[in-house]
Amino acid sequence: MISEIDRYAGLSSPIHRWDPRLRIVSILALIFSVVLLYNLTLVTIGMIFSIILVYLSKIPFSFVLDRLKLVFVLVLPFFLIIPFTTMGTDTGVEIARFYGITLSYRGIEAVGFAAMIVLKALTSVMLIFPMIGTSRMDITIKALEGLHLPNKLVQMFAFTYRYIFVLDDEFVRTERSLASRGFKRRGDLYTLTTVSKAIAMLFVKSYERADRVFYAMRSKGYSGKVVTLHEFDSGRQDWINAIAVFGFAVLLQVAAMSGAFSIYGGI
Amino acid sequence: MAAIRVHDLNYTYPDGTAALRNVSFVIEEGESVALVGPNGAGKSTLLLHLNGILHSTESREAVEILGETVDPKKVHKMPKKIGIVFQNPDDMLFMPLLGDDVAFGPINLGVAKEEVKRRVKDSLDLVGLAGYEERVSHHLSGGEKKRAAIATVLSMEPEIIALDEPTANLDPKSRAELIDILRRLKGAGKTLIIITHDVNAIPELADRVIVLDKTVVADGTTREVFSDTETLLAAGLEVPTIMQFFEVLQAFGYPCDVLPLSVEGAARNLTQTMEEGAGHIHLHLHEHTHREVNSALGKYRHHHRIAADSGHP
Amino acid sequence: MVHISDGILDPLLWESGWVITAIILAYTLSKMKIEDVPKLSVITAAVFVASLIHFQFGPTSVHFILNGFAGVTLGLLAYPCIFVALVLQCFLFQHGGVTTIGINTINMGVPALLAYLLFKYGMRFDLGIKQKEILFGTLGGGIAVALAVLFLSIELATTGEEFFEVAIFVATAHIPIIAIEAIFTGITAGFLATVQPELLCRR
Repeated sequence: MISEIDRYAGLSSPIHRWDPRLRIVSILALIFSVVLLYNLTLVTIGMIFSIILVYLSKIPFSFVLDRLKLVFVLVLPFFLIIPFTTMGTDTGVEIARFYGITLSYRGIEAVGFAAMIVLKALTSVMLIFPMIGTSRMDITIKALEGLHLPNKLVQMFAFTYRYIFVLDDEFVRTERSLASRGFKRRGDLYTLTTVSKAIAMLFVKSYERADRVFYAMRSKGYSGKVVTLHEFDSGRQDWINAIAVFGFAVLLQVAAMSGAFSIYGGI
Repeated sequence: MAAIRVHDLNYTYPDGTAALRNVSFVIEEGESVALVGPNGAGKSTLLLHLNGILHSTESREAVEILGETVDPKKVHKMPKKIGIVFQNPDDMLFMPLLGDDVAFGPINLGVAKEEVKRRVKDSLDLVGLAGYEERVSHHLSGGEKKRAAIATVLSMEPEIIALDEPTANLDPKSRAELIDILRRLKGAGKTLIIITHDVNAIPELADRVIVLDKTVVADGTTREVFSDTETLLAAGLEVPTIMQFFEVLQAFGYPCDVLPLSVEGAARNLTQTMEEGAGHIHLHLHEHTHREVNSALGKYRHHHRIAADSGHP
Repeated sequence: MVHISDGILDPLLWESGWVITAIILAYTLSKMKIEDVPKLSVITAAVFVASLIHFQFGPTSVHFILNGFAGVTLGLLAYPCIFVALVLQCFLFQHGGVTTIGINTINMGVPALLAYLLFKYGMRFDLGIKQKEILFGTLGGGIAVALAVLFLSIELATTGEEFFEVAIFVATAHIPIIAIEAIFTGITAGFLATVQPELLCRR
């Protein structure tokens, strides 16, 4: 059930070799920068840059596209609803009229606006792949510690990540045992109550497991701090990469503020 | 100095059921002890008392490890003395990478970094998982997880190692590998306390057996305890298959004073008997043989009881 | 479903979302004992896994949101639980956005905290019925999702007039989920009350 974002962490690429701490900070800055833009041209430039990053990371595009599909489905309503509602309420300056459909200046503007929203959503998701997908999830979590996130949070990330897989297996077993006794999910109340109880049981089991895990940790001397031996080091190349990506993020903002590339005054 | 001294330990679960009653025993350093008992006998609960994770208000100073009373406030200092291997390895492997899990204990104990690295490597070597530092725990097989869990305890280099059903749910090869690891630990002079239902493994692993059924019902050398069939049966346990088989052989007239406990013991026993009998073993069939065979077979039977007790068809 | 993607909301909204989440997170984390970390993590993992379960209900495929459930079982700690679950969801499945993690945590977490308060104070009333857990579980579960949807709709509506219709669309689409989540939380609260009462948060 759980597919792994770090499936391609074992590849070797400039992005993979980049110190995860600097990589996360720089790409995160780029994501924020793109999302802050309200200019279709700049968003498109940002997207092209992101595609280049994905290309450099050698993560297969098919893998990325597979995930983008879902995002696309989620943001599609915006693309479909916005232009029509805008057109419907106020036609603005009429440009052309075919077969009774009015194409107005505001209509084009709204399509541009909707396209921008979709592109931003896609770009930010696409950037997650070079950001997170280029090292193993555990290294990423350690990098968060290296970035001085609160210790409690980092521990929660690490342990939660570990137990997602254990509990997923456990739920699959519960489901099989339900199925082997003739249970089939239908769209009715009986299904809902049965699934609810199965999930409640999952919680009871995980609560008991939580106790045992805590005992095991205490038996190994846990007193609230998790330290690992992993060390990050960043050399010249890591900083060059960081300056390039972070610099690009800043550049986008500067361009937006200077008003360059704005086709539609309002957006 | 005794490795483990438990004196009059009582423990009641939060819901009010008694888990342990007046449990007392002493385990000397270097001893290897099997802790057996039926399900729900309090074996795992007893294990958690040994490093103070569980402690009962009724008997505060009941547990002494290496001459020192266990203080529940100092649980995090206990791993130097006693390491516990839990039954379910998934409970012990909570870090994303195996290497981190093995390093977890020594780091908590404040061991220097280079030393931690050495210990991680040595512990993984010892359990046959050399080079597994970078492996992801949830991808390991059941047998590997069990061994990995042991490595996470070995890296703390405790004097005493307590294991909860180390051979349960393993395929024969993994089980054999695990028994081999435990024998090596025993050979290295560690004090071992092993909870197990695997009676056929006990003769290889332990010199002594403690039978626990909320309280200590039997405590003696492996042979002594296995000879006390009545107590074992009452506690819902059994003796090694090979021992049962030689008892059947006795019914056929095989001369044997001391029943072998393991296959190796059986081979020795047979060789000796044949040497004494000029290369032959004499078995025979008399009128009373069938009765004796049946009584030998019936001695260790547990079933029928459910049918007899329930009384309903 | 309730979490919103990047690039839609007004920047001011998601920026303040981060600030508010940081404050609530700092407060709830300070209330959390370090010993709670392993336990909370295992339960967070369970919330995460349970929210992945899609099933057919009537004509639509739905999945649990579980914010009300988190509130009823974890109390204040529901907030870090939801935060961690959302970050991992974003990293592992790219559900929801990156810049919107802050505001998404508010949308789910604040109703979770309200569900917790409702459950906690509700349980103190003597209503003369046996399983109050079912009643207040149902209420908490339903209200938590309803509020999450309401928050989201308000945020969409304030972002711009273009989003008015989208907000209404989102709100209507979630009505069956509110009902489902209410039933779910009621059943599980009743179940936990008999099987493992210490899992319900009454503190």
